[in-house]
Amino acid sequence: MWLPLLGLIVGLLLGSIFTLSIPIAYANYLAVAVLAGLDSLLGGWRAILERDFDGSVLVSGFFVNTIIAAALAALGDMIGVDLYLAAVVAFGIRIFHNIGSIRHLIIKKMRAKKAQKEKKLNA
Amino acid sequence: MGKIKTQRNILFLTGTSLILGIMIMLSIHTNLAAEVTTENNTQELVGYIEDLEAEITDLETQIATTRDQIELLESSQAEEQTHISSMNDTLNQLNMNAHLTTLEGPGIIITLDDNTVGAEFAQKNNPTTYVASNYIVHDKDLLYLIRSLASATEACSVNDVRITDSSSIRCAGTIILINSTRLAPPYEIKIIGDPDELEAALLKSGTYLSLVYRGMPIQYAKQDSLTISAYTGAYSTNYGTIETVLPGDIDEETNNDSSQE
Repeated sequence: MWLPLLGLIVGLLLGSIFTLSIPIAYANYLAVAVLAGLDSLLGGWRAILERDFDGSVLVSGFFVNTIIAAALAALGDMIGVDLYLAAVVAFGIRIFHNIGSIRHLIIKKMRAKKAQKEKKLNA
Repeated sequence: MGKIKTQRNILFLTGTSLILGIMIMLSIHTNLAAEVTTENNTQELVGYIEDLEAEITDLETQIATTRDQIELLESSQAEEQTHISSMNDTLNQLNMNAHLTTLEGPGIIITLDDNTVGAEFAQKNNPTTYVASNYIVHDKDLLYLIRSLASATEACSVNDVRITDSSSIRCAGTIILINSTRLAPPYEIKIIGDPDELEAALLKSGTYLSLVYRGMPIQYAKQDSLTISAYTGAYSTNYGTIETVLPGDIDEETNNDSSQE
């Protein structure tokens, strides 16, 4: 269960060790891609809590969303419209939505556990 | 749900987490690098501005130097102007000395004519002893009269013909030639100078006395102001050459002139 969190930490460490940076011109695309990835990951966590998790959906969603988000931002730059803002808003809303759902699910779970314990005690 | 599937799902989740972690750090590093670059750019721009300011200061000093130079040139120009004006004064003086200018001033007018009355009288009474040349004005009479007043004379003309240093007064038959201009009596001699001095010199001169003795009609009148016109002829120097004078000598002379002024 803690493996994904460990993966995230290792990823952050790896990124810190290899102090890579991409050209500033592409910074916006990467930022949008990060948001898309975060959204996918939170979606995955929510799916786990809802017992509806599918690894293929997660992986495909992660890569497709990040690539498409970056590509949209690039297209926006080309045609002179700040499309990356649309991606930021959309993914931002989704991220908050996912977090909200996760919160609800966790609270529900905890209450269910508590009820079960009380039942056990009563029984 | 099988256990293997769950493990695979967790692996997927871990992998994506890893990639996301790397991406996040990449993004952060990129932003930091961008900030550093901006700072560098700012530093560069500040350096550029400082360079330009130094250049402006340089140019301002240059402008000041150029202004000083202009002032110097202007003052030297003014000096030249005074030089030129002093040279002009010298030129005017020399022109006056060469009788090339019309002069105005106090002086004396002497009129001299042939003794026609005496001649007629003598012809009637003593035809045998009558000599015509005794009763006319000769070139020498004019020449001696003018020369005897020379010391008090500043300018002189006879019948408005200017007498210069190289003027000749000659006899050509019945007329008198001055500066190759033919003159006939009566002769009006205008002289500029101190009227009293001129009068004294005239009365003292032997020529005047002899003219009076010969009964020639001669009168003089002191004048407060009379005008003597300029010499209109030319000076020609065919044989003499000017001895070369060093520029320094000329400067000295001019300086002496200006100091005299």
